[in-house]
Amino acid sequence: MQNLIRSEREARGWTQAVLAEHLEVSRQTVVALETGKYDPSLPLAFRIAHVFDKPIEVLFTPALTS
Amino acid sequence: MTSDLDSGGESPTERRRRRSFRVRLWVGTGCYLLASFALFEWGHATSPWRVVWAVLPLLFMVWVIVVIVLRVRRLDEYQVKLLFPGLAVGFTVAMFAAVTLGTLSGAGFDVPNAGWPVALIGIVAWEFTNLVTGASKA
Repeated sequence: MQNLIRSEREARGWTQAVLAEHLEVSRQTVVALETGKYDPSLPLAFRIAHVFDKPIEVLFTPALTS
Repeated sequence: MTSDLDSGGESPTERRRRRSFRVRLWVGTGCYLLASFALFEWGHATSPWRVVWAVLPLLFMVWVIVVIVLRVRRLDEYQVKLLFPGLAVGFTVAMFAAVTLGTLSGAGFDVPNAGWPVALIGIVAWEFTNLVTGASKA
């Protein structure tokens, strides 16, 4: 799954630690989410959408397969 | 691509939780070591008090277990995902070691202090798996 977490975070001028604080997760988890190493659960995806005030389907899109 | 915003270390909540966990863990471990010293120093007497010395270290181990359980409950979903393989492998290897030692003991071999090798083998397997999966950086 692809996501816009990094661009949305940077657009707000937040560090990964600040986003981690907003989401109540570790910074390591934010790194894993941004790099696509980890796809969030539905509750966490909703929290991310709430923090960025964007719909889930805007933030997360299916990965393009070759 | 990286940016300045990628730095920042742990969040304040993360740092506070990690420090609190370490302090509680080391207090419990320190008390356990002191109680173990008392056990080896005075626990071999024939007086009824030896039961107290024998049980005292276990109380501090219970404290350590509670501290670890509280820490695990506060982990987020990705950290739990990272932690699970190490725990599963460590537990499986420890159980295998326990059964192996039990079988050897049943066959008449002398297996002294059998609990300690089981604990040590389980911890080594746990840490090795953490290294392989990258969970040790968590």
